[in-house]
Amino acid sequence: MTGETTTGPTIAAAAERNPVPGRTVVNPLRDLVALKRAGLDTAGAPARLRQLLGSLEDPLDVEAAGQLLSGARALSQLAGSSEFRDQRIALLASANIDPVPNLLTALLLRDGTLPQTRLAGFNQWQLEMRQGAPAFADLTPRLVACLLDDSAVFERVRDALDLDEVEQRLDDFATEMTDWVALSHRTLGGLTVLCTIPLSPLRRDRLIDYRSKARLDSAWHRMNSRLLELGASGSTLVLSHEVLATRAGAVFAQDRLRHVAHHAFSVSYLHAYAEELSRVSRADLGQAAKTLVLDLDNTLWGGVAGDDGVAGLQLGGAYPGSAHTEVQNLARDLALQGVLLTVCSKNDDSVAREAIDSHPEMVLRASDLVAVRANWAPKPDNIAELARELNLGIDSMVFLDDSPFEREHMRRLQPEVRTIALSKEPATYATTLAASGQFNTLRLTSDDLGRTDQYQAQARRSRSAASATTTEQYLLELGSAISVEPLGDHNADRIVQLFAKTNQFNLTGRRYGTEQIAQMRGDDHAAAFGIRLTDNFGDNGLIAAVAVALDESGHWCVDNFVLSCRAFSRNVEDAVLTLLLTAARDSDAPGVRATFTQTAKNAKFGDFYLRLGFMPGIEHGSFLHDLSQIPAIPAWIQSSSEPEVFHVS
Amino acid sequence: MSADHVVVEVLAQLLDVDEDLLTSETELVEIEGWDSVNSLRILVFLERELGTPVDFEAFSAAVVIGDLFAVADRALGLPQGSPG
Repeated sequence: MTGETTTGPTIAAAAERNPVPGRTVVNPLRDLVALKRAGLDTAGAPARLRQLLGSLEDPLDVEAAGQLLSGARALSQLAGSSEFRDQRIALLASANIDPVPNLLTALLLRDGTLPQTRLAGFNQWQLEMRQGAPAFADLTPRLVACLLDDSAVFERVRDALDLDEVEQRLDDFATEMTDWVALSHRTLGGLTVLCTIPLSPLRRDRLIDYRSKARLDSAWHRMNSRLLELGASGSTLVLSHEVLATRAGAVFAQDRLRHVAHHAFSVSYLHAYAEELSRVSRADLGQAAKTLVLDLDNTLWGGVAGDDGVAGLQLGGAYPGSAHTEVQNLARDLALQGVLLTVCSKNDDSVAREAIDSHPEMVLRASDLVAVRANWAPKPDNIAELARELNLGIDSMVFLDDSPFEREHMRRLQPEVRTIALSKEPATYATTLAASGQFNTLRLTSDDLGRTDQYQAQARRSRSAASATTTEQYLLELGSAISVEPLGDHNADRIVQLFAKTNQFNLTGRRYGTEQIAQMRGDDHAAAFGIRLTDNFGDNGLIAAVAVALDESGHWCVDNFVLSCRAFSRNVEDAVLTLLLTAARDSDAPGVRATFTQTAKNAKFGDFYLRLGFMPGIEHGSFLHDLSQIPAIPAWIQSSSEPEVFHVS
Repeated sequence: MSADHVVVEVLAQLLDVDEDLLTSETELVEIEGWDSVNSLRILVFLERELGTPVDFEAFSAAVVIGDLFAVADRALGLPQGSPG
């Protein structure tokens, strides 16, 4: 060692002269550090941040990024941007899962969510909950995630070779988990997220006879099966370790890290876990994608329709046609579960439609597609118009295109659109799209199942509107009728979904989970209602929901009112509130209170209450109606419900 | 040849500190953010960057950054105390 002090510049200069063989140094994080130093509250920083985070692939980089962004200053700078939604996640585990909060932070920020994550103490998952979860007292988590490894099971096994004892323990453990989940619901509420438990190699390999190995495996599967059944309840979700293992490659931690740091899982498994939690979080916040935008040439079929002709396209039969058929089958299954399918293709419209209508192997036909845009305009422009036409946020759209050019073009001009990265191999397209999990939702409702039909009907309404002479005449011809349904078994899921997913006409942004909605049913001073809309084109299903509470002075308080965008532009919202005001007056309430809380998406409805005769209250955003003058229901809306259907006590 | 700059970059990136503040005499406990949890993270990251495992005991025993240089150099089979 020389006596000279090595300083920064000298070391960097040495790096230029003497590169270390193998990897290049930590480049992906350099831009992130620079962005953080420049300030995350500068113009364009949040979008750039999300882009940078989306480009990280290696789990260690993702973790390092999350750590860099976990500080109070970074988070408060981002909190100032209205682009981010809040999420609060409690984490508990039986092993050391220190990387997970950082991984989650990076992934949630990438998705436009501002995370508060908190990890319970090492192996405190049971004790913490039994003590009333003091670590999470001020967090009020929306998600309570518990990640367990097999030591949680085996630490209470005295003799691992005694399979009678082991089987009994596995059975008892499944029962303990059932109790733990119930305790978690009572203590913290929110959505409980469990994961099945992988059996680590040393536990199984130490048994040397195959019969015993199989007996242990069988009992282990039964235990995991019971854990999975806990997901049948509305407030519990159970993830599959097998799915995570497929994505991660390596499940278990390096042996050295097991010993020195009590890690159970590899960082790539924890990364896969955090990624899955980020999707659960999106579903929880009502941000699951809703629409799939499909390219045609070399995506839905092999070949180029304009060049090869319909007969020359590769679809069905042997590879590569089979790969494209697989994509169409997947798309159809997604549509059956409520995803809207659209096409965006660089083709003449007539060429595209002819191929869709006439190719014998097409799985998808025009009736499966709510919109087809075949033209030569840039796809980012097309997708913006599609979003407007369907009245959906552009961030709820997923883009599938085999062309790297089109994908990059979309990423640059419409970064909110979820562009799926594809390899060159068509055989991977369906698997990649399915694995992206962009449409993952907590539960399906009957409205999901009929969604394509409803949008097709909406398209017919729009076309019909174009031919009506005046808007009012058109509205009168439409024959809209609303009926109000009190919260009940048959509509509770849909009402929860309306509160969770509606972003534009959502007057306070308050969302009610399944538990809260269930509580309203037993409560004398609170109630929730769903509103059904029918018209000449059909039944739109429940398209609005109201939550009302009674305060001490007898005032009715509209806690939140949401209206699905498909019911816009015909004053349904006015009709609903008019009925509610009439009901309040008829039950001699002194008045009706309401609030408007501005969010990123609801600003244009800020004057709703004023239009209906409410007066602004003292607090900003509060309103009061004294019930002396109630507006009339719009002439073009019938109500099949009497006002009394709205009752609070 | 030396791996010193790899060590400095890893420390600078993971702990978000200025590279200029990190000299071979800097005591690890003086670096903001250095704790047992982060030191483990740095170890794992360093191993990825070097492409080879490092001696865990020697890493845990390090007091100044120069000790980490020695650990990294040894992992790569380089003579320790190489200049620059």
